Amino acid sequence: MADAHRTGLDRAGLAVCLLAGVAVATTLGVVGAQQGQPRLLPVWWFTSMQSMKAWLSSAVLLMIVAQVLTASWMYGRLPLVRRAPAWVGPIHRVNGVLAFLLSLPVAYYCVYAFGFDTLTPRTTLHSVAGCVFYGAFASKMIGLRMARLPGWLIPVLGGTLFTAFVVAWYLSSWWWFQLVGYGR
Amino acid sequence: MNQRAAGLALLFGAAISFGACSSDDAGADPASPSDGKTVTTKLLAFEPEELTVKAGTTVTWTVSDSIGHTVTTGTFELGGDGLRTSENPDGTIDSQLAAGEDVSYTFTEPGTYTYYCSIHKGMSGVVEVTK
Ligand code: HEM
Ligand SMILES: [Cu+2]
Repeated sequence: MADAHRTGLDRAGLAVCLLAGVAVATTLGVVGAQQGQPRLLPVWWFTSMQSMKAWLSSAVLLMIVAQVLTASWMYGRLPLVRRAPAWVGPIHRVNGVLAFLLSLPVAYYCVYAFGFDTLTPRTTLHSVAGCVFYGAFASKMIGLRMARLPGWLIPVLGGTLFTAFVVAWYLSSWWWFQLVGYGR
Repeated sequence: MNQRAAGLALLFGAAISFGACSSDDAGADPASPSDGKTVTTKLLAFEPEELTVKAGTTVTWTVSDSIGHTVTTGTFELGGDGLRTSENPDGTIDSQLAAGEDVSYTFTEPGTYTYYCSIHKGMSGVVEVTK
């Protein structure tokens, strides 16, 4: 990225990377709007699908906070600990993969067994944030594997996906815990 | 953009379209005890939606599946699509309703008691209490 002006930015690559994210987010939303409807899926020991999703996505939230910390560390933005040891990168990668995998059942339950819901402002914004999250994730994964992209791209995509997750979590899990408490 | 990136993009598309072709599961519908005192939720509906009981009857709301709800008494307005456009809870009942967490209330005064689920805009019901 430092030699961007020498080799030139890969503008086409940048466009592909961003458009892929937009496509993923849009597809999720459209699939949710068309296929999603109230359905029953297993909840194991939870008392409801909402509780299951609330706890699962709270676990994911913790992992995603760890992602922001390890990312800031690698970019030298953590106070006190300036330089990141070599193991921070692999930790960020493995934890990121696990967080993504753990989020999939939640998203599946949301998209398939509820869908893109516009009945209330809360569910509308939640649905949008959920779609943006996966879009940003797709762009980031693709961007990481391309050369000659602007240096701001990965941090911006990472920040977007973090923000989108926090918004989706706040408007669902947090809202749910306020409604029913933490007892189930 | 290299092959791996292209492959990843493809994978995302595939993962997303996967959800679209699973089969529909019919909601479990255990024959609800029709003693006229129990309201059971089924997906996003109260069943029966209208219940008539004698004063002094205890009505129990119970969940038949894995979706959490509330039982919230109050008045509301319905739009043409059967969805509530406004809600005014009256505080008589406002309880969580989930599997293993039934809600019961004894109606002592005759009258018309409307209620709804505060989570789901299309879930509303009424208990008619007669003398
Ligand atoms: C970052 C990914 C996501 C997370 C962590 C997440 C989390 C949750 C949680 C915990 C709930 C249960 C609490 C509640 O009922 O509000 C929920 C509900 C819901 N989600 Fe998501 N979600 C995600 C993505 C999505 C997407 C992509 C859509 C739509 C396209 C969506 C649509 C919904 C809807 C409509 C509900 C409401 C269910 C109800 O009314 O009971 N979610 N979500
Ligand atoms: Cu409900």
